[in-house]
Amino acid sequence: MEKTHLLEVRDLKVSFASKKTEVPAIQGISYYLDEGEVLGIVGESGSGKSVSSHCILKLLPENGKIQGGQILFEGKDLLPMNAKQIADIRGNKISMIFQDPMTSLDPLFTVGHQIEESLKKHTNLNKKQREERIIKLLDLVGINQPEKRMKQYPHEFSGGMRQRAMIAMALSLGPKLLIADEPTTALDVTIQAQIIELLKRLKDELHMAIIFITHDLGVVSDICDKIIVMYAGEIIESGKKRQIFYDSRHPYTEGLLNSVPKIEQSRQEKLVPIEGNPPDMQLLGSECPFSHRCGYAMNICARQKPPKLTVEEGHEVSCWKYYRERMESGE
Amino acid sequence: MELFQKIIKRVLLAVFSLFVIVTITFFLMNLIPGDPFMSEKANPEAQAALRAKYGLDQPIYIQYGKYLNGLLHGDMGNSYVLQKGRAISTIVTESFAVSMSLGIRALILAILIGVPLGCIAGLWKNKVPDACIRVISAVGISVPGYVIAAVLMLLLAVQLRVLPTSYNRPGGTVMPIITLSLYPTCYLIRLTRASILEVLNQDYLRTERAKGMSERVVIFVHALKNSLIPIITYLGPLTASILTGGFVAESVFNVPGLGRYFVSAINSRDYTLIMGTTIFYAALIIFMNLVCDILYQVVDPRIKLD
Repeated sequence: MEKTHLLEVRDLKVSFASKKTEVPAIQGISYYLDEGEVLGIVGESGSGKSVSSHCILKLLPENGKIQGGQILFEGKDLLPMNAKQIADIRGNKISMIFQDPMTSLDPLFTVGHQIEESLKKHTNLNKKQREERIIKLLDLVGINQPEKRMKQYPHEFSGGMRQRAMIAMALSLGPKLLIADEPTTALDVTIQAQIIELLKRLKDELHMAIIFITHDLGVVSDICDKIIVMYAGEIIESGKKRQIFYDSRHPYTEGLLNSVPKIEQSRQEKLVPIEGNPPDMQLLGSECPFSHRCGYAMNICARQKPPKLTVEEGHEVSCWKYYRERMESGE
Repeated sequence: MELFQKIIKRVLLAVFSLFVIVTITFFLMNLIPGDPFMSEKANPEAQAALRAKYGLDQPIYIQYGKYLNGLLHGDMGNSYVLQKGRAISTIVTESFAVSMSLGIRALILAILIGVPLGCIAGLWKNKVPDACIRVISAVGISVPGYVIAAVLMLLLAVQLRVLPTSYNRPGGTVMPIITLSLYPTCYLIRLTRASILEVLNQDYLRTERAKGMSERVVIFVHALKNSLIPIITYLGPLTASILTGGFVAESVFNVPGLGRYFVSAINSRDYTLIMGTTIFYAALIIFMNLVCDILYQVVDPRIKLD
């Protein structure tokens, strides 16, 4: 019998309704995640990395539509669930933190109240117990004077502190899975490092799995076990951290790695950006979506999508270049 | 205590604003050609005698000083023309009582209809209810009050004969109240709709959903409370203007309210009455804005009164 993963996404397809047509955003992606694992999803803006994770809790915007696939959490498909069933999972077994902590908290309610809402909904704790739990949570995420801070409003918190409060809120029920949607993008670099440290520590203490969405490979290298690289709504390469960082096979992944500043790089050495822009999803046909920007593009790339190939266990790539290398080496 | 001090500060500021308003109005009013007695058919000597009697023949700064002095002693003078000889304070309080009793009902009607309809339109954006509500509110905003009043009168009083044309008959308050409340209702609809649409896109609602909160909590607790803020801003001046009565509604339906006096006092150069109505209206607006600011603080913790 196949092992049940904590989360398994199978052939997920999502599209957005625009004025006239349905624009595909996610074109059949599959991945899985086990307990305690950290999965990084990397890609440019518009690659579908956020959308794919919002699907898990069915938090798509109104014009977004899941066209097919399955999202199995502890073996149960989340997609057919009704509003009440999914609400019982949200914030409880799976919780989420978002990109912009400045706008992700309701300005009219105290931070304590916003954490309490979640506790009220998912537990039977009484008022005093809830308060104790909130104080403990704020303390856990490194907010000083939690008794005082819980009675304050979001505007009385700095950006980093708000993200800590968001994390406290997300962890209030000890979730099995935390989805972190670019949690450090809106923060400055020192705060960014603190938040990542915090997430690393909490992951070990609470033994939860994390899906970490980002466009910053530097951030990913710090915290993730596995990495998925997304481009134009597809997974083009996936593997363990080591495989992606030291043995990447897709030109796009390579491009991403080359565009990260390195500390040992001399000042004369320039960063190598990836030329061009992501493709218009509406115009994509049967070609490899990266072929327009790829330095290695061959004739076949413009005609046919590359097959998914296994490089070694756990490392998969969809690229004709790698296909040819394999053929030439006679495997 | 802190709040109390701030209120005191605001009241002092309000007194200063009122002083500025009194001054500007006084001099502007004297710039209008003519005076309260120009229409008297009497001979020039009689007019001059009247002017002398009320001190209007004195230099303007002396008149101004006398008026301020009276005001400080709580005396706004007597009406020159419209209600000759009666104290301005009596005229204003009496007519304000009439306007207010209509105004409060119109205001409540506007809020009770405008805010919920605006919410419905916002929550069902671009669907049938929204389309209907938007058409109604667009019409209500663009049709001027005197047209509404005339149409209502023609329809309900002349054609259907269900309501009286005059204010003092039973049921006579219905049409003035509708006329008064129509514009604010429609404006509130649009304001609430825009406000709720803005709030519905906010990230914190997604956070609430991600916590497992029901749509009921997301909409009725978080979205509604946040969309109230711009509505409160509008309610302050609206309350002041609706309580003092609409000129059109009161003229058409013959309501003996304050609204009528705003224009008729100027037309007849009834100086003391112009001053009286202006001061009263200004004070009311200042007061309502203060109430709003305090209300703001109750709703929005980010706003501090200062």
